[in-house]
Amino acid sequence: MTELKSRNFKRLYKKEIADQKLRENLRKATIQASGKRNDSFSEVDFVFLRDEAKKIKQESISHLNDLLSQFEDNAHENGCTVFYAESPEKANAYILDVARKHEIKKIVKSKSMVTEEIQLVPFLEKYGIETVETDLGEYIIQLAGETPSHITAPAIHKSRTEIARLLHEKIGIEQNDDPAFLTGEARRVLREKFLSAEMGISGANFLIAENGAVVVVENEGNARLSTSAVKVHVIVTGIEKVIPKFSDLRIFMRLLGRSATGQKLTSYVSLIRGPRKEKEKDGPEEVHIVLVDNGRSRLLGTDHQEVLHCIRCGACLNVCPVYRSIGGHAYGSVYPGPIGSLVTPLFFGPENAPDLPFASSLCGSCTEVCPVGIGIHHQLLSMRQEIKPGSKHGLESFVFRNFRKTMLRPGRYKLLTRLARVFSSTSIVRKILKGWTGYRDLPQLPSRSFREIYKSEGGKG
Amino acid sequence: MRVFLFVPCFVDQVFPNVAASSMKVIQHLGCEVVFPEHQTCCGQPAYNSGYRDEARLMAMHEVSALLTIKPSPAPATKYDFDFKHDYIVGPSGSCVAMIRNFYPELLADDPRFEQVSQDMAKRTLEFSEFITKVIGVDKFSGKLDATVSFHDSCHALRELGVKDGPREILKRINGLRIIELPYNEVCCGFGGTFAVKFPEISTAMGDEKLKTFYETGADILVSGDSSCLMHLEGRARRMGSTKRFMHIAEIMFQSIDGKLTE
Repeated sequence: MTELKSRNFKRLYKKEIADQKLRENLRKATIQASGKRNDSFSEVDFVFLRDEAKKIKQESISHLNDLLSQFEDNAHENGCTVFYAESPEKANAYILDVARKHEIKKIVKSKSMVTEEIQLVPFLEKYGIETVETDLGEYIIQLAGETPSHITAPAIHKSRTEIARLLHEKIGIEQNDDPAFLTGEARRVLREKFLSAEMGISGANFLIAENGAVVVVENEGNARLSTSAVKVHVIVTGIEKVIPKFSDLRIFMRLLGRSATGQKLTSYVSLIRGPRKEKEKDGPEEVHIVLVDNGRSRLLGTDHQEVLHCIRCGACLNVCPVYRSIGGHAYGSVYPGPIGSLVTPLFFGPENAPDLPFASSLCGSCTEVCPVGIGIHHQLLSMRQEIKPGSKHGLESFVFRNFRKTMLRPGRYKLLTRLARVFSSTSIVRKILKGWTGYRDLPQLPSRSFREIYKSEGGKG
Repeated sequence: MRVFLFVPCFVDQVFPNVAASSMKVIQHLGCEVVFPEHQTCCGQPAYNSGYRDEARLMAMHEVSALLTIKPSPAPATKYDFDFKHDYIVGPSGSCVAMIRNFYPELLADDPRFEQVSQDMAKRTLEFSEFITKVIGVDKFSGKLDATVSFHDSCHALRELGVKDGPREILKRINGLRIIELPYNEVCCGFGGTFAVKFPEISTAMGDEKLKTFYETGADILVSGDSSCLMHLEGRARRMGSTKRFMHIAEIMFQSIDGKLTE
């Protein structure tokens, strides 16, 4: 894999945060999305559902190997081919093989974060296979030549006007920013793509171990078309998506739509049990399920195992004040926002995202809304503690070592802080504190600390 | 019952008036207050920045220091703190959360500190919590003519579950008008070292918070955490605002003292 952009977080976010228009778009969209989410949970017991979902996920991830083989057996029985891909390269190569075997030139694709993770579309394009994104948001992003900036709302950073202009330039439709008009035009263009495509690629929201079914949740009907109106259907998803029972969906279905878009239920929920059976009139002839590991199984048994509970709803992005300020592209990763700041270093290695676990005020809003109870901000905190011991030589590590030395000796603390107050207004101190003084005024420092006041007043304060 | 006053390092150094006000309010409400003199820093800056080992050493120091009134050659073997009757009270949700939520985990594998950190966590309260949960909010009343908004610090709100308490306290002040901030659960952007590591993000968040504060038309932004206020006030001053920022202990003290000092 090529070097991840997430290494350059500090450079990327500075560029994004300077874009006032982007911040405005984001703020509006995310506040609205969070508001809808909150409203939609007013009629159900969020805490109960979350705790149930967490239990199921804990159970699933702790027995991941068993559940995956159960799923594989049942999917096989249903007539699907299951391929376990350790790496993005292996997943891509397998999918290319399937496409070549059927001499496929055109693919329609519905939304899948894992295909972004493994860079499937650019890979297929290298081999002359056209892959069209059919989710409206993804389609917009594909036309713009960009990457998604959000897990569930890939084009959240674009305003309606920007989208109208883009569609006008790229597919030649009349420039009109009425959402109904834009959606209708995109639908017309995409319908033709569906009719001419031979293969469909989709993701999966859940894999059900007990019956080998694949669950795909969406709002536009494009996933249903991509999975049923084609000759070959390839499902690409992560190994962590497996859950034990069909009945577990009753919990997840109530949580997912609400968390993602504030809907009680998404418009479409497809349960895919395999290819067309004899006497059936439609459905694909072949169904392949590609289960991607790519660093996931490494997390099993570690303190970060719960990160695998994530159902990719995007609620933590919408509520995150950091995400709201910088947007998804700043993270330089397929997975942005609070969950992305965990997933990116965990899946791709901390060296690929050294700053991301620190790019949080640890406010905990993410943890509060997570529908599967991931302690996101506490996970970020423990990631920090795993990353730091590796850098014993930097300035920061020197500062904290001496900070600690001072704090262990109250006499030294008293002396040094007194000196610091005396020298606080000098330019050298201001220079050291430029992360603060470049943006905010320093507080007026008092002439005496509390402990000095306390002592001089004989313990009366 | 005695209160062992926990004064976070930056409150000690930068906001001594917050510590003094906390002390005087608690005394006014009839409790004895002691300030354990060996206390320094709870270790949160190191802990949150990933320096766990440094944080552990500071936590060990702070546990012994906070439970001992008069300094004696370390390590202390006998604490002055009475775990049945005394409380540790600090005017910062964030630093209190460090002791209450993170010390037991941080010190869990050290036999000298495992039990005491857990016992201590149970007796450690944030300032407004102590007033509402131990003393009883109706024991307090004051008088002050001002319009304020209350800013929830994330650690008080989400780590400690402090939400209604400070508002109930402010309602006990005659003449005080309280206007709720819109989006009052959104972080102000301070976040400890986050504020200097990613200053552009931190201040973008701060600017959003200040905008909602200005929209309320209130004169004073009150909070239970001086760290949020230091960030917000510093940003407000830089942008030319003259609005006021006060810790809840300061406004309580002034409401019993009778005047709003400049």
